[in-house]
Amino acid sequence: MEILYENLLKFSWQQGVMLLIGAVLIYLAIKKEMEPTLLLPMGFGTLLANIPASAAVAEEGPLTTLFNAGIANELFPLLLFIGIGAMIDFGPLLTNPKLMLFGAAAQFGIFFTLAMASMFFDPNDAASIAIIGAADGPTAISVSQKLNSSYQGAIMVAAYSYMALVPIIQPPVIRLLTTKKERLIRMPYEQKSVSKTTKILFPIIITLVVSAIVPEATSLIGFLMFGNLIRECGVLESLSETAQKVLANLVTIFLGLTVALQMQAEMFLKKETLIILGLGLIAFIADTAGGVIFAKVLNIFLKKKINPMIGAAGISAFPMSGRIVHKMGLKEDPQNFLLMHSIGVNVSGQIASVIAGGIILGMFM
Amino acid sequence: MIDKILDKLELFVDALDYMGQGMLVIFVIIGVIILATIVTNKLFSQEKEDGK
Repeated sequence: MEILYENLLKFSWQQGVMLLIGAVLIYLAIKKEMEPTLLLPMGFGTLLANIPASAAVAEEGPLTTLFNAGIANELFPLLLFIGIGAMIDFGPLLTNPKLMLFGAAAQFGIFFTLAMASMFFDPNDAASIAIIGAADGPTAISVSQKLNSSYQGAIMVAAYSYMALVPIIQPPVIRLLTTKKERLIRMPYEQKSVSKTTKILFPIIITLVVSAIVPEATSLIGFLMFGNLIRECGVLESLSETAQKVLANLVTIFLGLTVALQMQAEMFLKKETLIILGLGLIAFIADTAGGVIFAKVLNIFLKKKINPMIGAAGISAFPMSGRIVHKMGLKEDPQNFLLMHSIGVNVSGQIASVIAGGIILGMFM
Repeated sequence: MIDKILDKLELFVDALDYMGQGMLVIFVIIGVIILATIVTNKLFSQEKEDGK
């Protein structure tokens, strides 16, 4: 009869808290539809990881095996990047390449958070926490794993939760930093076509340029751009579709479940977790502010003004951030269509966040 | 207490160097990519492709 209650007696209150956190993640994923592709597997994985003597997280348990197979060696994030690259259309960016400057500016939050985190954590952990500001799951996993951070679980929860909260975080920051007059600036879109050759060369050029200057980013940028090249080459339709759907979905399932290995009570329930969640929020706010302020500074020198709201779309939360800026523009002026500009800036943020990840690795590895 | 705060501020200020370097490198790389893209757009414009 002991077998009925023996394991139940081993439950700690910390595991109880983690089970609650897992349940909250599942609730947010299903009921509130917040990044369900990641939060649901993470939430469920958290449940599996916090049962006493759980076989799922034993030395040769499935979560441990998957972790060693795909996260310890950064393989899963890289495979996911192939899928993400295949989903991205760089067309709006290629018609106006200067929009990439806003993608660069919006990575300010990463480095500002690095400075903040340095006050509380050692350099590698501070750098891993700062990369939450990349607003990009695979980059955050890859960098924190390479830097051997002790806080991967908290970093993942922060990164994905805040990505889902972008519609709540960004608008107040944008409104605070812009005037009504600035938000009303119209940016008419001039339809320009981009040749197929340019679309094919673009991922190749990006890979070569970024890898040559920041070799630590070679894997991240290479896999992302490989996915894009599969999409744009025009001769690999089935591979492109597989990358966008089957590969991306499969890896997402493995990634979400496996990251939960870091969500065990003894790893996650520390006061540092609260600090990390706070710093993650600062990273997203500073990213938004960096992009908007950069646009405002540029406007001092430009005759044809830019709507500074598009700077906020440089955060890598694609395509949510681009749509948020477009909606805010329409709210101010129903005739102001910012979508093509904001989406162009948004995809450039994807590139810039990977570059930033490579720079962080170069500085701290 | 004040010493601790001052120590932390010193760490923050030291880390600003990383901020400066990091942002500079990102802008340089993005600048190179922008130039390369503009050149590629000019060399392989849609009109030239249609003309072929």
